[in-house]
Amino acid sequence: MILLSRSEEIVLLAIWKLKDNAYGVTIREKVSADTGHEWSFGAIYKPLKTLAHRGYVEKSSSEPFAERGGRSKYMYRLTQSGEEALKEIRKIYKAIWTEDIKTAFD
Amino acid sequence: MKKSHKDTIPASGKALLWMFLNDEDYRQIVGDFEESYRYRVTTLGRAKAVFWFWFLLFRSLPGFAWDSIYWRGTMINNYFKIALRVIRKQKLFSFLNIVGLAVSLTCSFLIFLHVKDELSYETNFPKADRLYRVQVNSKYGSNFRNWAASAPALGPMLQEFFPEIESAARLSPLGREIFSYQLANGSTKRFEENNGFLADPSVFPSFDLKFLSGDPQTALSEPSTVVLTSTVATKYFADDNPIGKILMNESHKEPLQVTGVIQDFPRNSHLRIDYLVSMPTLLTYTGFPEEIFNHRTWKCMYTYVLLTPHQNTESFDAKSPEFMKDFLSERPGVIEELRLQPIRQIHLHSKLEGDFGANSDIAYVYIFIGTALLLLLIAAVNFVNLSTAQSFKRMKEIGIRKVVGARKGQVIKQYLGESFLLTILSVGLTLLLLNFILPFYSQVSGKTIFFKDVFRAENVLFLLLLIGFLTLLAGLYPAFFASGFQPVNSLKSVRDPRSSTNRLRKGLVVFQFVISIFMIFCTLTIYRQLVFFHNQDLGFDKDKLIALRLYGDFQENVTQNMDALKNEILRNSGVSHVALTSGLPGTPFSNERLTPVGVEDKNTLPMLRFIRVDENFIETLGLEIVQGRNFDKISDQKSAYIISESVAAALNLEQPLGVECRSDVHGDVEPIVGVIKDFHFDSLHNPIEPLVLEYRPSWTGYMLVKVQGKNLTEPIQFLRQKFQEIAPGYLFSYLFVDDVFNRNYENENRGYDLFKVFSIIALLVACLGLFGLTVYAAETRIKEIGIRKVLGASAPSITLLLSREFVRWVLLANIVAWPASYLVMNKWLENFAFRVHIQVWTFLISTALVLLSALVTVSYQAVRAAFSNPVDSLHYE
Repeated sequence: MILLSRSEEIVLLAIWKLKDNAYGVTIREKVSADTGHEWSFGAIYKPLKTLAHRGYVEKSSSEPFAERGGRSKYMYRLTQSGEEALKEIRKIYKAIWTEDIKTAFD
Repeated sequence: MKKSHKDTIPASGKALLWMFLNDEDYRQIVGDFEESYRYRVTTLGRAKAVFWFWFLLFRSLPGFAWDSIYWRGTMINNYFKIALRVIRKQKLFSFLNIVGLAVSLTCSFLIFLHVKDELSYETNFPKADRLYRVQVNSKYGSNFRNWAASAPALGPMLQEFFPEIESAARLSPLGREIFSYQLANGSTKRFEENNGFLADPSVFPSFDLKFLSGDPQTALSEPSTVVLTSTVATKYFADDNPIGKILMNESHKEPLQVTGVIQDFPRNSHLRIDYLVSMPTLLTYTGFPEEIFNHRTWKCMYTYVLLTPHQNTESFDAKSPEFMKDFLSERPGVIEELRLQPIRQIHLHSKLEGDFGANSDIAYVYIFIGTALLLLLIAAVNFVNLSTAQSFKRMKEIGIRKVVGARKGQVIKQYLGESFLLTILSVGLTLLLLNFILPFYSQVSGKTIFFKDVFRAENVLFLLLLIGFLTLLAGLYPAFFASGFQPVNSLKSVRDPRSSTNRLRKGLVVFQFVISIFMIFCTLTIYRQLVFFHNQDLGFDKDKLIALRLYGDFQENVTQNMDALKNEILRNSGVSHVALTSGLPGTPFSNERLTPVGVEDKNTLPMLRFIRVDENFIETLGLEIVQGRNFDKISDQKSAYIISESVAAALNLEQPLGVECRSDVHGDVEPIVGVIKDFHFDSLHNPIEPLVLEYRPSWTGYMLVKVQGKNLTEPIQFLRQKFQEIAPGYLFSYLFVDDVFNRNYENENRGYDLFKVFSIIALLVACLGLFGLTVYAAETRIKEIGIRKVLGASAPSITLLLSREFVRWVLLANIVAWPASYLVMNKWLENFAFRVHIQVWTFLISTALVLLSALVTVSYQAVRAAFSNPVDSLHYE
């Protein structure tokens, strides 16, 4: 069973949603939009590193961009095991968030 | 793509990020920040964007920091593991390193404790920075004599004249006195008190002396009142309330009323105060008239002034000549200057006439710090040598690390980590050593230091600084050295591992020997000077000379009935001479002037040393009369002088015998009846001064008893008994004159004790390193030795082969060590008016000692290698 922390899970989902345009700036914006909170780079940096270390995402660098001060973008992409992890999380949610809880909280 | 400076994020923000992130993450995160920032500049404007940037940055930092600690921790864990493995694998080298470092650290720590104590003098007085002692430089003829003491009138008049002076306090030392307290049950408690002063009440606020009972305002205003420290109070009164009780001063036959008890005076002060007597008591003690307090040149007191806050001595210095002109207007011809001596400087810097005993010297503080540094250097050199030697064995490890992606910085970090770990281990050993050594150290230094004191904040800080310093000193070179290996070379391991750092290692070993030779030479020279102190012919015989303190009724009794008492004492076969004197050789004699009748301007005459003696003094000390005669009880009833040869020269007396002279102390005119040879009545630090003996038995305070035969305790017992018979209740206290004399050499003795120990330790630690290097040399040349043996080399020739090089190093070290130690010791010897000369054999002995130690160290390994069986060293190829 794969257990991710909440922030890792949110970041992982954001990367999946962003498809081919997932890098620091976009991930931060996406996560902030999804959750309604302003996330700092520090807050996404830690889960990103853990995810990369565990092999759920892979990192690649692009050509340098002028608007980044001549620096490359570091793009993130889900790996096979990253997708599996999402599936498993989904499965667990389905199991634990039963219908009666949903009606009680919504 | 035009780059506008305005569009980039602040450099300080970048620097902050750089501190927390590794290179790759830094590039990524700065890029992200930059992109978002530019977007905000276009939408929100620059000011808001900058604000937004910093806000986001600071919110990000905790995340970055945590992450960096986490990942670095993983790597450090790995370094730590490897370091432990290295230490365990290289047991001998690690042992040599740790022991060497620990011994040096222990010594440095002890030196640190000592130096800290020396520098802490007077710091217990909150106003110490504003407190000064008034120094008086008096001109006599053509030379100045600089006094720590000053005249009674000076203090009050200074305070009146200078608005800069908040208060002035006078202290006048009382010398040894006997106090007694009559208990209710009729018995008497009687003690000798050595550290008492007549004092002004202003001494309490100036030195912030806390009263445990009594009123600071009135405590010392009345005559015959005394304030005790709590220790002294408890000694006499135990748990009773001392206030209002009467202490009897038996030396002056004067009852003193206790009006206050103060906290004990701090130990680390140039002043030692056990009790304070009110200033007006001077009149009842001495019978002087009130006018004595207006005396302007008699230096019998110490004046301490407290300047107002934020005041330096400049305005005092500017105005003091004007003040002195007025102050000395009635004493034409007397030329004096005032200086303010900060009390914080007295302990380490003051060398004035009338100082309280010999002060310590700042030079010794520097010498100790230097010694500590040298010891640490020697240990660090061992570390550098042993770890660069070992690096060759670890070339493969470093090669692999680099091939799999370690950067240079990481290898450096790993090596520094290892030296850090070794330092930490040796600190552990140091603590263990300190646990055992501190009790002995406390005994030797006279300062009580417990093991738990080691963990005081400033000591821990010092140890931490030392750890950091040693880690860098010992680790940096090997780290850069090893990290510079090219993976290709180190994995192939083709280079001859002995060639590249050999020169540095040699240089460092030579450096260690330089230090060892230097320290041993210094120790030997200090030792020779000390032997000289003890063996130099002083011109009198200080051995087996006992001094007994006379006081009160008993003193009068003795001086009046001296003949009878002398005959009584001389009846004991252990006693050969008995005499009376006012001062003991080795302690400062009084400074007075002698004016031959007919000389008008006495201000041009030099100051002379004076003591008062009886007719037996000269033969008791074994002084040599060169002209005239000894004092005679009958013909010198009206008193007379005997002068030393240098007095005759100083006063320009060609025919001194029969010259009538006036003393400026009592004004009587007396003839010179004899001339004695100059002798060392003061320590050998100082040149021999002109000395005048005055025949005046009633002004003496000590009885000198010359003892003969081996047994010293028997005559002392006899004297004790005799004195009890004559004066029941007399507190019998005696001193040996040679002890009193040798107290002047305390600084040198302590310096010698330390240097002796530290030079041996320096040599031992250097030999530890040398041992390690020899082991290494024998290891790397094992095949060479095997082949040589197969080809017929004898064991001695191989021993010679391995040790020859080390001998060359020691000899090379002499080139630096000899001139350096010659210069330093020559400078040190200049402290003494009478001194030994540096001699060649001292150099030779130091070199021989170091050479011998090096040879013993080296030969063990060399002999082992020479006798090894070549089959063992060659068979696996």
